[in-house]
Amino acid sequence: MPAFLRSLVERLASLRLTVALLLLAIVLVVIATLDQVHLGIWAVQAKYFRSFIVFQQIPGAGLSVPFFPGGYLIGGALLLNLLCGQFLRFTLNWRNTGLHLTHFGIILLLVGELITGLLSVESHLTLDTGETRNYAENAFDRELAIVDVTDPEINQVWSVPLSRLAHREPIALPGCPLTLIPVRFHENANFAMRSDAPNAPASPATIGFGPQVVVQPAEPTYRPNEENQPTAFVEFRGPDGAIGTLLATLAIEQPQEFTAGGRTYAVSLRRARIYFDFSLTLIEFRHDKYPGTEIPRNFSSQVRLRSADGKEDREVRIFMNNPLRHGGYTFYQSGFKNNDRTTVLQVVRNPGWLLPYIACVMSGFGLLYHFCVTLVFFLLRRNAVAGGADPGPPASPRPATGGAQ
Amino acid sequence: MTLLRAPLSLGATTAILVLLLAGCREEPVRTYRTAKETPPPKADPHAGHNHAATPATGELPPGHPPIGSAPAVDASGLPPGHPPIGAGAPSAAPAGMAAASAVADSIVWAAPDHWTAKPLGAMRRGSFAPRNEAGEADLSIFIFPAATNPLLANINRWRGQIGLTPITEAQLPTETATLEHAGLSFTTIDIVGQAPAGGAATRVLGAILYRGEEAWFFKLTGPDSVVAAERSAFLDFLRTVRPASP
Repeated sequence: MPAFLRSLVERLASLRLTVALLLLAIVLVVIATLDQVHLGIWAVQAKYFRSFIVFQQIPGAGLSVPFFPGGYLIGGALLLNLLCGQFLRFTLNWRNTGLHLTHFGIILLLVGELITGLLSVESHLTLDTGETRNYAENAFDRELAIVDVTDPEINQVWSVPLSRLAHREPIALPGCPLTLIPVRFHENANFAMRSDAPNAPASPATIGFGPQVVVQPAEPTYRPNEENQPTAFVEFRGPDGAIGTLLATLAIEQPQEFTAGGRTYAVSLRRARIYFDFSLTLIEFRHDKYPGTEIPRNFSSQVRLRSADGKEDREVRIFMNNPLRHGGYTFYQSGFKNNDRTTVLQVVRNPGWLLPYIACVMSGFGLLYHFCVTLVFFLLRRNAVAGGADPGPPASPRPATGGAQ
Repeated sequence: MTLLRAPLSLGATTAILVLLLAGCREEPVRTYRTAKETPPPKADPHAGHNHAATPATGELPPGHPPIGSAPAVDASGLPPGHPPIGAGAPSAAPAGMAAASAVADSIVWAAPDHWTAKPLGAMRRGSFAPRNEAGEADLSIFIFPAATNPLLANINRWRGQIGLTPITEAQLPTETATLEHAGLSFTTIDIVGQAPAGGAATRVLGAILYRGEEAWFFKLTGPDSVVAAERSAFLDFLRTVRPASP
């Protein structure tokens, strides 16, 4: 290995770096915990732990600046530190096998969290009795959906992320003659009918039901039992010029339609959808109670699962601790509403869900193995000392990979 | 020192530039094709709506006055099936919606047999179309955070929807009644006014239930004669409301 490369690896494997990173991780946890008062748990997770850099907004300046290393950066550096340590100090020795196993378990744990953070998706599927759906709605992400509904069989959908609506830059829709120009965007808003607030300023909306609604911007809420109502005014332009400005908000579920160039488009701001290649139909939701009481005994959903290719068609019962696992998704019984006519399923897709289990088993087994080896050597040495023989090797073998990692 | 500083500052600058560029990355527009959705077979999406008054698309044409005279349509001017939005004034509007889909309702109820269940939409927790010989009304059940939904503002919001003047805090005891059942305390109102658009006599029977951090709104509205005939059914319905679990 070239000298400069070895020097770099040695620096990266430094125990001081390990300690510094662990201290940074502790500080990050403390800051994030304190900020949870303002942002709530989900926003804090995204801002502090599932990011490379924590950005902080300068009050009054409207500018975000890098503020602290994020969870991915600290975790990634720890992973690199651990890998370099293993690379430098790895010796194939049966006495150190337990320590190696433990460290590989930790590596797997870090990689597992990275995979979970990057690839896992949590969503909800709400089904009325008899209803069929082939999509779930993301628990956190929202989208502006422009749907070409002209075709009687198929909808063509363009999904615009809300982050694009915060800027006034034109948004082109691939393969569509329409162009969007965001006019105004609010993370949260209150609403009133214009008839109730006749003196309110005129609405920027010119088409749809926007002109009849008064929008009042509101501070974003992070309380777990509340939901922001993201709201946008978006101008639509076609090849022949401006079509009009439309109000889209999560508070109004009904899509608003307009026609341009002989095509009909339906626009709505909704929870981002995740489509499956199968569908679920709610046959029955059951809310069983203990006889003579109102104490719930069981919540369950009898659903019919049908694959898009028609090869699978079966009934499944989803109940507490007995989720449906299909197509990489796990469907948990999560809630109900509408007087027991509607079920709410939590839908989780996490390709790395098995890794933490494997990592914990590896680390646990490694620690147990190391403890046993140390104990055996200790007993051998004690017996040897008692018998006046050579004490043999030390009771506690020197860690092979830098210990504290 | 200079030699040492140069690579350090170069590295730091590069790192900052990379981070800033990473922060500027635009999320792309996704495109996909899906089959058209089919509505649930049990729910009747046409229940309680005057389709002659609204286009098939569910959208009011620009400048169209709110639909207030049609039976069972809230005086909101919104598409059929959509819950009313907002409050009498922006400041009185709910500041946030309770997380709708992730949690179970904390109360349950039993609707009379002659009330037809309607599709819920995004915000309604319960939706029925009470029908009798005189016509049809609309019963909606909503939940909002109690902290941002004081009683007086919401009573006045309902009053404003049928053209009645606001009342003061001091008038609340005389303008409202209390119904207590199963450990729950409802504040009820029974008011008659006029629909903003058509001027037809419109009645609102409302009940507000505060339960911990939740404020539940039960509102029966529609033509005066229809709602008046459903008054006892509405009160009986409130008596079926109970906590989902003890």
